[in-house]
Amino acid sequence: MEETRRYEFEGLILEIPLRYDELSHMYIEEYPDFIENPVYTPEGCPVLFAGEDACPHAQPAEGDDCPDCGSCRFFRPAGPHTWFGVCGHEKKRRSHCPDMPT
Amino acid sequence: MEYITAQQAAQKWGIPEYLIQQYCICGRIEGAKEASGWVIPADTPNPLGGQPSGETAAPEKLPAPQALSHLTPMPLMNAAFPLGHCMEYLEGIEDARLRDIARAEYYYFSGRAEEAAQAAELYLTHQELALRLSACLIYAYANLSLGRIQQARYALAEVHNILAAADEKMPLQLRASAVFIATTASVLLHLPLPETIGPLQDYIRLLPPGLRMFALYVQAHQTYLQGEYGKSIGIVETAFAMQAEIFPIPAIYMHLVAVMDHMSLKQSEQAQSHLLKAWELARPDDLIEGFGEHHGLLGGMLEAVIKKDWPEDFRRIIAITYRFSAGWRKIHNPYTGHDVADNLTTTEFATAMLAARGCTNQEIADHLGISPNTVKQYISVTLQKLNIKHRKDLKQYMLH
Repeated sequence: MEETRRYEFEGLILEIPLRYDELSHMYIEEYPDFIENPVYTPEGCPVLFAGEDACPHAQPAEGDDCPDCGSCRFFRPAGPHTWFGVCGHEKKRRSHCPDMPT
Repeated sequence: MEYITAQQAAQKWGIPEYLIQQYCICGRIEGAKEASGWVIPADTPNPLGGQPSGETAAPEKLPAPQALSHLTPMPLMNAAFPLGHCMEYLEGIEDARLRDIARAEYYYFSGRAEEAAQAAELYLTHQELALRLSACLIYAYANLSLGRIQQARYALAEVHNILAAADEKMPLQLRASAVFIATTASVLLHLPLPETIGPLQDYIRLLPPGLRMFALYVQAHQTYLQGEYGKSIGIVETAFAMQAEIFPIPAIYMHLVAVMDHMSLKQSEQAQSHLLKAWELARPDDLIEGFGEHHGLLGGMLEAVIKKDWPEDFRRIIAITYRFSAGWRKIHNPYTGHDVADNLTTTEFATAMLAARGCTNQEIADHLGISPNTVKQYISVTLQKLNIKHRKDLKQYMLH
């Protein structure tokens, strides 16, 4: 039984814990709070949950609506079957937020 | 003359303030007058006939139960019983047959589906149509909650058969009752009405006042389903303004549809106010069924308002929700019985409904009284279970 799922993307390696859900009979990925404990790629791009509220820089990837990071054209998913990824917007890079922990 | 405010009267009599205000509007409290809010003569007796707050004695006189000469379907739904005295009221109904139906209603509206089905079953083929119609409605909903879909379908078909067989000899008031019950069953279960049935609004004026109130709830619910939330609120407000007495069962459902409307309009304060009013009406007699039935449409209000202060009642309501929604889905999709809600907990469902309506994580957190990170966890789980990538796609899954 797998307890974590390993992702390698954009120079990062992340182990995401899994929880078995009795109701759906599925393994659910349990993402850490990437806002409270930020994680950055070597290029300084922040890792974010796709369902995070969209920031002021967000632009819709499709249509007019962009309520969350997952709908934003700057968001790059960590994989095809996961719900976290990297924000590629220049203004969200770590170099623009020097007081952010690494 | 010395006066007290409605708030002071509410504390003195131990009944909700808004009920006192409604009594004032209806002229049921002699000497009450408006002076930047209602004021009431200080020596006015409790209009419910009860004791001051803190004492539990029964009211001196209950309203007279239904007269025998003209049987009314759903006697408890049509009753303006004092809060906390529902059982006493129904046990006081003289006609044993009406009392049995009222008891079946009580079982149903207090979440006891098995007992409701048993009590109603005896009257499914009764020659008295008012009793048979009542039994069919209770039996259909109770069996739906119990997952016995064939029995539920049978009872719904029986209502349609009664209507189909109706001719000009059928008294108009009885026909109105039959249309009311058929429409109630169809609208609330989102099932098509037979084409031969005329619109309910043509018959509302012929219904007795409690059933008229519930019929207006059905209309408000139908209007909500059409996305006309403001119009639906208008129906609710008008119905409350026009009522001469408080009919607890219709009033609970009326407040619940107002919660649904206000949540759809992102007016959570008004929604919370209506939910609390519904709860004040329901709790004294344990009439919790409606809360479980409407859970998914209440936009997390049960979690926000009931869960913290009444955890045991909340647990029972959620049990009703699971039971009722499983049956509801079976009657809609008998082949798979599958729906998005199958895999979601009620909290995940409520959170997803709010997100589908465009609320941010912070707004949902504020509404439910939990942290934004907990909201994100619920959203994350929901997206994974439904296998959708964006919360904007939730709208398609949750609201259609």
